[in-house]
Amino acid sequence: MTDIPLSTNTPVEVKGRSLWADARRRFMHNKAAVVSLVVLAIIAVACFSAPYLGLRSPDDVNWDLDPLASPPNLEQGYYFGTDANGRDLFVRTLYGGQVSLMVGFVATLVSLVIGTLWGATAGFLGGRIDGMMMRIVDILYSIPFIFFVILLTVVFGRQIVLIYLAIGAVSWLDMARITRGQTISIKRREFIEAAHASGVSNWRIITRHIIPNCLGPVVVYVTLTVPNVILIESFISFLGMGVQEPDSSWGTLVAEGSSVMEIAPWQVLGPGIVLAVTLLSLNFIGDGLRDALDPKDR
Amino acid sequence: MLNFFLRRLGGAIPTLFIIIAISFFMIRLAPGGPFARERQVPPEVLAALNRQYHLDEPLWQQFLRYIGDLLQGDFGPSFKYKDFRVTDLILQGFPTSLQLGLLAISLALIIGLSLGIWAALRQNTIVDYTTMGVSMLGIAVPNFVVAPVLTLIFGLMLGWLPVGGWGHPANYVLPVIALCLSQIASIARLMRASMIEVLRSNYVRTAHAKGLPERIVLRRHAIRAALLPVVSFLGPAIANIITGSVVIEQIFSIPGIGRYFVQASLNRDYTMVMGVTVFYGALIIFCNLLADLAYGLLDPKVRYD
Repeated sequence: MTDIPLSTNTPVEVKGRSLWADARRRFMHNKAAVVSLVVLAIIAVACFSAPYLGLRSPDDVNWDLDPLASPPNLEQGYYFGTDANGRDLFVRTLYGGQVSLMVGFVATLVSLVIGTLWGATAGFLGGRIDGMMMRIVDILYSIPFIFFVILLTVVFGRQIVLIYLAIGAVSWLDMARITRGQTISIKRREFIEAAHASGVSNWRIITRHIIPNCLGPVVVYVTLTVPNVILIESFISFLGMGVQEPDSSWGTLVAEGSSVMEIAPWQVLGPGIVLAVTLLSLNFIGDGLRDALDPKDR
Repeated sequence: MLNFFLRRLGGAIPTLFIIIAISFFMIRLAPGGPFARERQVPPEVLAALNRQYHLDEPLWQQFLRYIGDLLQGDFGPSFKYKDFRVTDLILQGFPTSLQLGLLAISLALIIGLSLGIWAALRQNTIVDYTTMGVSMLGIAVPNFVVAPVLTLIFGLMLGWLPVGGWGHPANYVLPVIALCLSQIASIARLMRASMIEVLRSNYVRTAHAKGLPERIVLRRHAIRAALLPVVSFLGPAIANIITGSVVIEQIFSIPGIGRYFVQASLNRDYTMVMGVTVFYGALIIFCNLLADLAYGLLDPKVRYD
């Protein structure tokens, strides 16, 4: 991992190429991924700094507009136009982005924690326990989880936190499989044996040695989970079962927009494009990372 | 073969049981019970309602009763549409949803496979880059954004296709396209990758070397082997189309199960939501089973016993 010279005879000037430095170099050569990273950063910064940019409030109604829902107007600073209630759609998209991006972050974190722990434990313990744990994952695979997330919101009402957790709790399966595969290939290595020999507990070996060494593939998968999770949230919000007024997410904005598309097409285009660009960037970044970290490609 | 099928079936039954159990107990955990949202009713009426729906029995007995009813194809009464059984509502919407789903998955396969093969044969040319770029877009843009945009362009601006309504063949075009676009994209990418790998393999080189015409090499050797990853993707693809149909049916006002599901969720019609969840769960499991079998038939390396 780190720059340890392989033999003492090597001249000092030759710098070791660490996995991460190599990966970074390759990632930086991938134009699509780098551009995506910049675009995503701009969108994220804009969304989360929206309250401090001196923009209108997302709930402000401009009664001077006639009609209240008016198309984009650069002079007045309505970049995306206004919605049926005369609220600035650009600002609403930024605030909605906070919710959508937070879902992406929190739910992915939840799935990361569950998935890596589950997969690492199964792979590490092996044998019958491994078989049983992965059998459970197999079973869960064929369950239509989106229906359950919806069922959950039907039963317990629409609390944002609940939706975050539910989405995270249903998207950890791939993460578990990947971590397990990686763990199995790591656990026979010498440093794990050394840890065993010096009496480190299983739990500590899993959390301190196995999981950090699975990071490569897991990082890739995390970047691919984020767009998925954002998609699930906007899917649910689109159906009217997620985030509620006066809050908004990209899903609810697209839903509102598409219901009045015949008369006010701009209402779906603004938020829709931002959502699509975000998802596209995340996918490109994920692909770039995969190419950068995939050892087969060296 | 039969053995393999039975073992797979043996795996499917616990899965189905888990689906039923989770949805059943989740509904029963609902704060205040299923009738809490209704306007204030006298206690004796509430008791009568509870008796009517067997809510006064112990939980395990209710669960057994529900499973017993399910085995007879009865999903119980709808809580909101007082005179309807959930089974009737599901059966009413199913033909429509099935048509939509079958059309979407067939189209996704035909177009996705062709695009993938084409891109693989023209690897690193403009054809390849365009197909893969567009397909990335297809994967990233959610279907509920695609659907309104398609409607906007082809329905409203160009006026070629109807925006809503159901029954006429023209009504199918936009929903089916919106539904299968992302699956086309996934299948094309998958097919391209596996095709490229197969084209580099030794037996394809041998086939070329022994002088077989390109067409036969492709059809008999390359494509058949390259199909395998796509077949194993069929299960998830079908599941995606089923979930996608929920939102597409809602957008285009198509009278299928998905639309009932959304309305039932908004109305808190518990038995209906649960019925659709179990029904679609069973359907997805069944389709996965079929995909598994197809995989076994195509791949000579898979042994059934």
